Amino acid sequence: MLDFLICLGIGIIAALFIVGMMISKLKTVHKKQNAADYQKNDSFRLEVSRDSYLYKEVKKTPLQKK
Amino acid sequence: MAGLIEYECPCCGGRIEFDSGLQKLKCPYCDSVFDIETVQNYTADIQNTGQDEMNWDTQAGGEWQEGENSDMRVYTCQSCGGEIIADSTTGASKCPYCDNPVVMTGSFSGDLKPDYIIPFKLDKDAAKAALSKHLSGKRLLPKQFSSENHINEIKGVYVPVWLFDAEADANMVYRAEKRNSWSDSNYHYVETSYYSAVRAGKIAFELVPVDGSEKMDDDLMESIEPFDFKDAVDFRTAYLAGYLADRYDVSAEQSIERANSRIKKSTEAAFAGTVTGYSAVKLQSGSVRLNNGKAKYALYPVWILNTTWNGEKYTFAMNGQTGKFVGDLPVDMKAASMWFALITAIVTAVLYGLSFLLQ
Ligand SMILES: [Zn+2]
Ligand SMILES: [Zn+2]
Repeated sequence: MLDFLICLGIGIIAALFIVGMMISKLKTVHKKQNAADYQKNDSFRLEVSRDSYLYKEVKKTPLQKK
Repeated sequence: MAGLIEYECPCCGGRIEFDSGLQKLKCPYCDSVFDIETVQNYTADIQNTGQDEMNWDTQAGGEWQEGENSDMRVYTCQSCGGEIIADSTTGASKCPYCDNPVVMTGSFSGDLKPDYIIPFKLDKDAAKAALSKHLSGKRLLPKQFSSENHINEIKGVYVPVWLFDAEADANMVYRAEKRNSWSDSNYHYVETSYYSAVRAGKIAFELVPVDGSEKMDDDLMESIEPFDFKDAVDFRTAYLAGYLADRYDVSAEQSIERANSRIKKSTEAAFAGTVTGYSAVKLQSGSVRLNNGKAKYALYPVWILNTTWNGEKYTFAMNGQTGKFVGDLPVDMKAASMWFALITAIVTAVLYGLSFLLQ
């Protein structure tokens, strides 16, 4: 019984995914978020690039004894 | 040094204090210890990022010559109020935005003259073919939808757009971390080192378009981007023959905000892309200043079709230069449920069958 429920669960997820893809094919209107199409060629100039170390943290967790 | 300078802890943001025993700065809240120089540089970097700023010159468009626009007529839609322009030989009978009758309300005057126009490259037949292709191969599109479309009503419209140029000055501080982990016989260790990454520089954008028509949906117009400005020519009224032109009713000033936010997103992405070699990076503080924006006014070619189906309005648009075709379509919910049930049944049956074979 448990086997069957797991199979059914995977089946439902697969169906949701495939039908979701089919529905998304019907939606082609999307707001453009960026201006990447309009960047001037070779206009990007990185004038400052500086990385500095601040601090570190160490977290330790006990290993489970086998 | 005059006065007392306060520093924030780079770790928790609390006020940090000088520890005379350690000769270092120590945070009383989280116990982190820092070199004085580290905290001074860090504080200066954060303060230096400054505020976002936008300086634009929105002077776009030109003046008409005497008699240049005397052949052009304004048509007003009785239903949606949209105003379109056509030359006297072309005329207009139906609104491209809502498909209702339009009436001529006078000759055209007063508006700015466009600086540029990208002439139509693709004709009505190309637009009709693109629509058929757009409707084909979509399993969840209701069957009747395609057959009921009055495809002949597709109209060529020059849509007014404002074009913005900008040089962006960015000053960003990122918080980055490197993670390292190891184990000994008793413990598992995760060491996280934190870094502050400063990035500053310039990037430029040109001809970022913003739809200047209230009636033309902004998202629809952005969905058929990009237009290639290489084909743009100085505007002349002769290009309007046989087509409609939409009258702008959103000013360049009102349109800037949309261009700004797109340019800012791309600027931030370009600089964030230079912070590499870490397991995680996030923007801590930053500013983008935009300068030298000189706006232009242009007309872009778009094929538009409006249809109503089951009481809902559907609009399709095709880029009249590149042929990119968009338009949201209705979903056949019955077909969707059927596919859902079918796929669930098949996948479940196959997996269940396999599970027996493997046992
Ligand atoms: Zn702290
Ligand atoms: Zn209308």
